[in-house]
Amino acid sequence: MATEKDLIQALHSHKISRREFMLRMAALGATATTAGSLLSSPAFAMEPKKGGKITIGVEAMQAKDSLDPTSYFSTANIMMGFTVYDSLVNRGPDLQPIPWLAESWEVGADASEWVFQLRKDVLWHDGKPFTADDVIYSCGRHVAEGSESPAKGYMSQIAEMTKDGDHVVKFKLTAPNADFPIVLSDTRVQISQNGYEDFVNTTVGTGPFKVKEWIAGSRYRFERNDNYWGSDGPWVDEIEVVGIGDITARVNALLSGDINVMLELDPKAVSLIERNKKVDLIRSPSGAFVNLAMMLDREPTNNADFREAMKYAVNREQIVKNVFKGYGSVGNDHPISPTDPYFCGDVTQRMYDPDKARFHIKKAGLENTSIDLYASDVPGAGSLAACQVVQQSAAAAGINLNLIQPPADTYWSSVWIQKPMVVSGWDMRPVPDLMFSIAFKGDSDWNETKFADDKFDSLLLEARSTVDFDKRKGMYCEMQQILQDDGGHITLAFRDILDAKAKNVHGISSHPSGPLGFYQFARTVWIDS
Amino acid sequence: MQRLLLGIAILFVVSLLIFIGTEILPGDVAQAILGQGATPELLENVRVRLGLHDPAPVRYFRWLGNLVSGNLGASMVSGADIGQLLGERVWNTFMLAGVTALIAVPLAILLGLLSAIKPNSLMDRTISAVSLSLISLPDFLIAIVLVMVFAVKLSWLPAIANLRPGLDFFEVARMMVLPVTVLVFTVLAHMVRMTRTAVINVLSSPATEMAILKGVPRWRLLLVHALPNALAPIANVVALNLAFLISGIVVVETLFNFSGLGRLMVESVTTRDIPVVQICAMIFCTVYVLLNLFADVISIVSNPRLRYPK
Repeated sequence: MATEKDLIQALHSHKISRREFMLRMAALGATATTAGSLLSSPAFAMEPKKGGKITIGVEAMQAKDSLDPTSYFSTANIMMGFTVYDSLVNRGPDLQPIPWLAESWEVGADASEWVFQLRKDVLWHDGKPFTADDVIYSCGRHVAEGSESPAKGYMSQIAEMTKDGDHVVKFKLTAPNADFPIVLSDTRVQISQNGYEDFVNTTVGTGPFKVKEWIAGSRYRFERNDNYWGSDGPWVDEIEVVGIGDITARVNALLSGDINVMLELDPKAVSLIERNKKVDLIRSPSGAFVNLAMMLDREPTNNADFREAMKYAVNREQIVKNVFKGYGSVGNDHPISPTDPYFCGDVTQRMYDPDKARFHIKKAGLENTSIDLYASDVPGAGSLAACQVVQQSAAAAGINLNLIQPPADTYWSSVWIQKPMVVSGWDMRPVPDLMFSIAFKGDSDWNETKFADDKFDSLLLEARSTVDFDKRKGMYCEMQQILQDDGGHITLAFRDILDAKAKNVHGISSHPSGPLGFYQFARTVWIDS
Repeated sequence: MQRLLLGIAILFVVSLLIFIGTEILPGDVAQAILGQGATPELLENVRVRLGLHDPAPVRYFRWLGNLVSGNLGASMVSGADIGQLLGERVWNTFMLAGVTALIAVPLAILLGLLSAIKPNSLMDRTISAVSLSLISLPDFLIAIVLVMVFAVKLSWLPAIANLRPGLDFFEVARMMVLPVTVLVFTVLAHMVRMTRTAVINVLSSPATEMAILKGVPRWRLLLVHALPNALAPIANVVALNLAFLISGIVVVETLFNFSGLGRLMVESVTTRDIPVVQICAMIFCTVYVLLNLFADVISIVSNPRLRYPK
């Protein structure tokens, strides 16, 4: 846990934002006045300045990118979303929902009815006022007939939307869901204008920037919206996004000043950034992880002793240290990271234990038998190297892993959820419910380990309708234990999100949910000239 | 004329081969678009929209029909018009290749001639050693070293070529310096060696001996007697290298973030965007056919025996 001194230092060196500083200080028990008075001391009196241009280098810009919130594709595309649009509910660095286009909400008796009060001072880029019709229209588009929206799955839980005047929307859900506000903070549930359909070259949003130029896959430029409703930005005049797929080229572009913010840094390149005096690292501990998925319905991973052997044969500390260069944290064979408020400290940390691994692999009768492990960097940088570390540590326990590297472009369609043991990876989900339901629930399409446990599934449903935090945490704790004991999931590591910026760029906060302040740096970023 | 028809036939065969190739690749565009987020229902929606359920021959001839009638079609992944998608990239690629050729071809011929004047002289050995070491170093290594020195350390030149409309000539020129340098290094050696060999061959012919005996000066011997006779093989190797510059510079495009055709094609293969792959292949193939045709014409024009067949 960071101390006050750490936080003040972090703020001083602009590693965290003022907002985040206040939040974290509050977590330490400081009152708002103490934290506030610290902020107003001369050392922190750096006020954001207007003007300047941000050129950001991103790792992927794709021809498939779209201004249509139902079909976002690359990271640059999601960033565009938070630059041009707003969501109804936003998400704080503590992963709690915060009011955004909706200024408040109330929950009905059993968490299946929600009433959202909308802000009244929001204008679209074309000057029209923002109303309840816009919300109903945009949420409906995800579930419309023939929709290809990746949000279709969880938006289908909305059974009915009605408005009550221009600034109240009522949602009726098919089943109770205490996490509904946080679902609305997803990167894809952004609000577009009622009736707007032609998203080809430009669009109308309510967000901090307007589209200046949009050519999918090659050029994205945005200009400041001076009528923005929020108060912490926007500051810069213009934001330009440049897709630079190659990591070396991206780092070079930052070091040479061609870009002043860059997305996604390889842990291997961190030393380059730290040695250079003109640039800073932006580090966000996150719940994004790399894992091994062992399928419970086929040979040889259906053997409980084999899975147990594998869990003891992974040297988690070594992976964090060698592959992720310390920019990550060890996993514990369930998907909830220590940054999550629902993380359960009572589940014993599993350690590398070659003797126990040898005992179980012998019991499974698979000692020194060659077993395939499909390894690739597709699930995230470092996942292939992590598998190589696993191969070494497992060999020391008499487990003979045969590393197969399949072609990258069909990894998700012909390796993942097909081969018994593969490396996989997931971005952080804002609440345990989304992670559990997508990757571990018995009937999910994405249940990569084919895990099926009645107790787990019923706890999941029960927690969904439980509004009380402590009670829910108890249930999620039990589920984390079940996964660690019986699951086919081995968390290799949680990886930090690493980005970088030029020294004179300020106002980018760290957020566990996504890079550059959960993709929202555009609003708060400013340049000290 | 006959050659031109043959060229069109080759284009057709290539388009068929590319189509078959992309059909054999595992996975389709729907899976590529949806990636980890695919569900059977979403896959079905995408496949129906793109008409992927039609049999392969139907899809091929639908594409061919459209192409013949001048309709390049739309990208399967983004839905964007392919003509629009290509426009800027074709221009960028041809500009990069053109500038490189303008520098590399005269330079190569000059260096080739200089080495041929006195084979195995110090000059010849130096030129050979330098050009051969440049071709032996992988282009990505040269590119990274140049960027480290000139962009990162000295800040003289940009590290990436972020071309966009509205840049003035000077800005574009600054962005082009590093990629063009790397490409010149890559194609130079081949052309230098070929020029040298061809000219030395001619110089050792009886005709040259005759000229020397007649008292023709050394420079005139080289430029007027030897070079025109060596033109045919040089033209061939130049054509080959120019074609390479249009189609095979993915590495340089990637490292300098240069928005060109090579990268577009590789990206489109990854996403199984067959219409885009096809058009790129067509462009590359056309360039090959035309350049070869051009090289043949030059060798005919430069050779009186071929110009006036008996």
